[in-house]
Amino acid sequence: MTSDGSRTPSGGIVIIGSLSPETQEQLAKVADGKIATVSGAPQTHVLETTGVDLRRLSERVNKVVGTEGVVAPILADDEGNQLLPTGRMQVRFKEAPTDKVLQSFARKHKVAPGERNKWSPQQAEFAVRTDDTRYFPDVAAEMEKDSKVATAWPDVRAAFRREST
Amino acid sequence: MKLRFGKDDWLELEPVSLDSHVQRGMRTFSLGPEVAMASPTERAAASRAAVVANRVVQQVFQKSVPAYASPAQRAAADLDKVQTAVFSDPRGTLRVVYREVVLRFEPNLAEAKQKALLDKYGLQIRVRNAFQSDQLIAFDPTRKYIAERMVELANELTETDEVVFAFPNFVSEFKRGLQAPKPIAAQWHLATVNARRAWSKSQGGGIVIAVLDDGVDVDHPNLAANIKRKPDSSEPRDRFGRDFFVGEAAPDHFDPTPKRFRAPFDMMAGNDIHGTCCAGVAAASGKKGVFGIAPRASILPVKIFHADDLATESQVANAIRYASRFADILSCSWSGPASPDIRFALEEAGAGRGGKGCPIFCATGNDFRDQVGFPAQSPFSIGVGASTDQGDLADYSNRGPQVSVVAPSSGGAKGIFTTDVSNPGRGFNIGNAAAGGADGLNTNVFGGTSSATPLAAGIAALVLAANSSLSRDDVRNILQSTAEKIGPAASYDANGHSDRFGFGQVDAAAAVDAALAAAAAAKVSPDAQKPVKKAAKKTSKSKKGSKKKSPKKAAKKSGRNTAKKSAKKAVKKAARKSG
Repeated sequence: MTSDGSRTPSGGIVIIGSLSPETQEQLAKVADGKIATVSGAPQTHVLETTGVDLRRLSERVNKVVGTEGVVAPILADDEGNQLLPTGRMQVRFKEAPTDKVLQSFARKHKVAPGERNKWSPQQAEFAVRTDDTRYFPDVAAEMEKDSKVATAWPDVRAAFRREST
Repeated sequence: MKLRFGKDDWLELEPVSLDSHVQRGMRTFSLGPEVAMASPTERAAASRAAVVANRVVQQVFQKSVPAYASPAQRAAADLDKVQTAVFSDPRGTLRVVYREVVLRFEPNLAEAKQKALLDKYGLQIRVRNAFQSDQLIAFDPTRKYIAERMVELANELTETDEVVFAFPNFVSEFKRGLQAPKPIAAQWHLATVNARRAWSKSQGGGIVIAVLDDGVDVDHPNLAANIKRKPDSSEPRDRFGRDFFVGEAAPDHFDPTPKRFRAPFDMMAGNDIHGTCCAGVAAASGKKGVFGIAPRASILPVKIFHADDLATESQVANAIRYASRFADILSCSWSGPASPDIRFALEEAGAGRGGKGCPIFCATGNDFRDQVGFPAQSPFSIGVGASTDQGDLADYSNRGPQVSVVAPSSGGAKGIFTTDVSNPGRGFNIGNAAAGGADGLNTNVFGGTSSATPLAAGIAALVLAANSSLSRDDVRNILQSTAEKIGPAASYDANGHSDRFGFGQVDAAAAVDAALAAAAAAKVSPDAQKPVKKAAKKTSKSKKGSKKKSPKKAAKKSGRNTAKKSAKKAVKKAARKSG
């Protein structure tokens, strides 16, 4: 993790994309486990594992998934909360980027063209491409090294709790 | 029933059902038999309507006969024929109509044409307006158009080409200054924070509270009047808030109401029943008897959850950004993993309210532990813990340096009585008389730091309505400095802070007094939208100061030590004044 050091890969792999039944079958074999879907998050599949090198597993899963989806490790914070990457990167630029900057940034970092945040012009969102075989956390790390970038992080789905007793 | 409000607009009027009978030659109104089975709040509302209707009939419609007249004299004056209708408008104001209509003709319409129209409906002129020659009051001597039919007649007249507007000549409740309504005893938490004393000076009018949660029932009879309409004037689809759980491209993005329901329907898990309760605690209108702490404030529903489904952080962050653009105060009765995006959004909300910043109230969490949850732990939010009806800390309420204040909630003998989703068979109360009423519109089991948070947010609305020039740090300082110290004195450090109670339990009346005193000190009228130059200078100066601080440094100071000198001075002065 880049902008928030407390988030580390842990506990499994997320695949974001529409997977064919054949791919799902192959994935189950690769991961020695079942593929779960996520309620309210269509096209998000989770392979939960323990004690596995997630970078290696990610490479293997990527080969199976091909261009059907984006592969990323599940992230966990200090408190053990599991965070499921959405396949998109949030990038906070030092200055509000122009369209030209967004385009060249996408090209340079091999991600889909970015979309400026409507509510926060300094920020933009980039989707990781399905043909990208890099280890997902490395993409954010590379982006953060860019001189135009203040910070970058993978967007995630997380469990929020309504605080009623 | 709908009443035309000019050519293009409508006013929703809800008929109040009352029984009437003739007693000593006079028409008298009382509660109908169906009200006997109604909830306590409905009975209270109907009683008020009967009192108002009787007062109006006696003081206005029957005033031609002296009070000491005999029944025979009254009958001779046709007093027993007085038929009225009582309506409640969207603000909960009662309007009584008998048989007069106010008519404004098109400018310079010939008198013959005016007469022709009046004759068509059998109306006679009661009086012409002395200041507006095209306007008059007419009545129907045959009593064909009376009560509800008068509303229909007004609509019909407004639709004609000759008329600019026609309006029943309502006798309405006009309140002198602010009358503090009396909530039902079940809403004990309002008494605990001295709501009625605060309401005599401020009821939150003109302030918008965004409730970021699992949706708000915008049709709830106790909420509908206070839902912020058309918050984003540049987006016609934004009628009353948005659903950020789904993306902006989703068809239901502009529907922030509860959507997810799953059996068992009275459990929070699987159901969107939380946000409606929170909204009620903050700003229920009281129209149907249940009050929020800021009954004249508006609610901006911002849906960020679909029950317990995982939510996308960037969408929660964008919901905060949206809310800080179109609301004055944000209420967040939830917690989740610390997130860079949400942290940025909280910081950016400092630019809301024209640079004065939106106070963001966040639940400290219900984990029984010595750690405040996120985002309550952020220096850009105001962490709210829960106290009980016993004047102690609720055992579940998290403790830590970021607890700013506590507010009454569950955990003692009583829960919080508030609004519940009105969909039949849905909500914490699915129709149990003992759980808040057989109609299922309210619940008495709400609680947690979830309930404490909108209570504090609503008090902030009272404060900002009293003095709109305050910055978000000023609001925090006022709530903290006027909070009542509860629990053992030893809990508090030399600065008056306790990891358990924060700076104490919120006190609405003291906070409003301090806001008004700060306005007076800064020579700002309570109604003024802009402070005088001197005050504005001070505000912007201190804002710059706080902007320079890194989030980490500010976190170290727990936010609470970033007090603005000006606000502190004003608050101190206010405290001295109130003795």
